Amino acid sequence: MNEKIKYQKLLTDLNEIESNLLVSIQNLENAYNKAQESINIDNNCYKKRELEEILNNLKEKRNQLRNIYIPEVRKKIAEVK
Amino acid sequence: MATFTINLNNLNEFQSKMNSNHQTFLSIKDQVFNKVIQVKNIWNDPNTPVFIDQIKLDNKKIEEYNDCFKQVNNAVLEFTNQLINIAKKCNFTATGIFQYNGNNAKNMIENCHHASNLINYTHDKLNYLNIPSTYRYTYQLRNIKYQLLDINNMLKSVSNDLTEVTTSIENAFQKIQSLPKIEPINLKQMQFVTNTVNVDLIDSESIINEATSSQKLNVQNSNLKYTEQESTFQNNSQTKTSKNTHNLYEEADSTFVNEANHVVKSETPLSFEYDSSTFTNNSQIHSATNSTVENNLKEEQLNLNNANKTSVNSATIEHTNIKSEINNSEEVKVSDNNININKTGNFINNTEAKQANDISIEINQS
Repeated sequence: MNEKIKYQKLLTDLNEIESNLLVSIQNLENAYNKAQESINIDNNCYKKRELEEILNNLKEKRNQLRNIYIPEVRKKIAEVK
Repeated sequence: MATFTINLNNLNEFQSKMNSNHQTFLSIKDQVFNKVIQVKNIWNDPNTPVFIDQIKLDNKKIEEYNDCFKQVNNAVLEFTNQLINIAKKCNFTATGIFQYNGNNAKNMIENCHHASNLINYTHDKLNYLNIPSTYRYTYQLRNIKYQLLDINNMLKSVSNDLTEVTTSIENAFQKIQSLPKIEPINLKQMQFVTNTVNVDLIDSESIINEATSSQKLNVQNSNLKYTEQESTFQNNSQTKTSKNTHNLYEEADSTFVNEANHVVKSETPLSFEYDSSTFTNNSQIHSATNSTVENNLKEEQLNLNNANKTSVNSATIEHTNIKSEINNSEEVKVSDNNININKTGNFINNTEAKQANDISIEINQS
């Protein structure tokens, strides 16, 4: 398998991973929004803070993929003959 | 799934008050044994066998009430503790308004599970990535795999906690909803023929007050309301008298027990006059006014239940000028209120308690 094909395969995989992370983020945002009306003590929601932390971490990883790692793969595909 | 809003301050207050009331109730219950001794010490009294039976019966009723109350108490305690523990897990004191929506909580958990499964799948995918050797961020990509693993572990922990807490709340909530109905305590007054001291089995009024108080709960500012049971365990030992002239029925403190004993003390065949006497049970009245009754109290037990029936369904019905002879066994059916005259002439006035209202828990359930 030549390098270009390897990068193209990597791009496909990373796109799929990025897409899965996006759906995960959407799921967690739903959960986060429901937290307000699920278990709420004096407007402090059970597990909302933890969910927010998880969400931020996950968004960070997805952004790294989308903004750094995937563009780099695209760049390599364009470079490699 | 349950949905409720409850003020933890009120719930706490209620729970401790209920517990306190129950302790008081238990101490009153202990008086039963003292009364047993008291009754047994007066063996010569003709009413003693009746009282012994009465004590057994009443004690059984008290035990049944107590068992029922324990279930209620435990269920509310468990529910309270669940909410308090959750509040504490949020790093808050166990005060303030607690809102719970089971459907939303379930939706949260499902979303977390879904997200977790996807992250897990992503983690596996990263594990088998074929990364060309010239790729600049090989190390970073490998590293993301472990970072996602950490994130997923955090998410699983949140999801597990949510599931555990939601399950606990739902279970505790269901227990409250399926609580048994607290049956009323029917206590009878008793009095020795040969002793002027009233040997009421226990202080009926006290125990009824405690029982009633035990059930009082009104958690304000919430959907969880235990409505006050004003008429629960009401002691209807009071009889009513009717005035001949106006057919006016008034409550009085006298009981048949007292009247009966007074009559029996003469120990002679007597002319028992129902003059101005009315046997009442709530709104149901039989009034044998102005009638004279030959009463063979010493020879046979006369049970008013065993013959002709007269159902009186309204307090306004007059039953006057009827010559009632107990020997003819006229029966007056006044609901469940039995009026018995036995050999000793002891009138047993059934102190029928009103039906205990259910503890009403108004909680939206979906």
